[in-house]
Amino acid sequence: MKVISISILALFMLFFYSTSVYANYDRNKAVPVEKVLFGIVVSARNITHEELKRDKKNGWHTFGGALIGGVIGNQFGGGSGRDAATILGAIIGGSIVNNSKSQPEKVINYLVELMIKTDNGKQFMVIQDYDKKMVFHIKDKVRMIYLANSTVRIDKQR
Amino acid sequence: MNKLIVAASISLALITLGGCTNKSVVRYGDATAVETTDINFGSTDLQKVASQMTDSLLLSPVVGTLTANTRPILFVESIKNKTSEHIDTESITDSISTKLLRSGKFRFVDMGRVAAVREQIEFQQNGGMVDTSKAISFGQQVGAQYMLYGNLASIVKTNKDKSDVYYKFTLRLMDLNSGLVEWADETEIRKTKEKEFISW
Repeated sequence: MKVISISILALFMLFFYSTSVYANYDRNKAVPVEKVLFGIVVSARNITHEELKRDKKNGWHTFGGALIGGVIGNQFGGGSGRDAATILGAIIGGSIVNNSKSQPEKVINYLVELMIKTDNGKQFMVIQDYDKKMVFHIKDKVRMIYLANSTVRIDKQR
Repeated sequence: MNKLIVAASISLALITLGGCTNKSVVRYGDATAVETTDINFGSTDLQKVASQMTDSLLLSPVVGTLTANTRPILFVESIKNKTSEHIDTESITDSISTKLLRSGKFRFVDMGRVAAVREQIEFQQNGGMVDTSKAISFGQQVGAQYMLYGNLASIVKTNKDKSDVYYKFTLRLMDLNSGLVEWADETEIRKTKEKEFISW
């Protein structure tokens, strides 16, 4: 009984002391583009900023070498069985590097990990902010937009 | 008497303040009016692109030959959007295909409705509710002879005082039998936004 009460209290505390942060990409803005690739979503998985930070500490075992601050894929290698380039997309929710500040309340930045297979047969894993206005599903036709500010953003084709 | 004056003053003040509140007003406007809300791709751009491409296609001598004795069957492949903007390119192709259909020179098959058509034919064939002697059967449709496809690209340049957006829309018509591109054209749009310095 005591354990249940503590669990309920913990959930209550988490509910009231955590803030969920979702991105709000401005997808209707004309900005410089370097190139656009077209493809489909092979897999889509929601993750959090925390998971990404933890993985960074552990040497990128899960997200395999995504580079901090934007660009751009380096290959998985060493016989890991995965051959997709990993791209850290246009994450606007906060920097992964600057995570040392203690925060009075828990801020959860939601991200989405997308495996994209482009029309030329290559696969890319892109991690970008979760955007409620554009939720991705498997088989969605997407555009992989290489923006001129050295970031990548995934948009649905329609 | 003083109370009456005070009450009247307060009422007047409240009415005046009430008149200052923000109100949302809905109005109907001209759908073809030039829209310059911002520099991004807008309704005027869509209308311009669709209109120019349709006119160019219909006035082309090659297309005149193709449509002299027959109404070729087209299908529209999606427009590849190579801009940073999330533009509904299907809306552009809808406008173009509607104008071409209304010209009476072309016929279209709609690849976006294949699943719905299949479902309807299956219903007619297997649903048990339609007279099978009158039901539409599979394998009777006619295929497209030509494919209409294109690209929309942009070049954006900005500095602190000025923004310049250049759009290029390319459309092509391919003969599916021979693989030859029978017609192609492109239209360009340039939009600039500058800061205006207001002098008194």
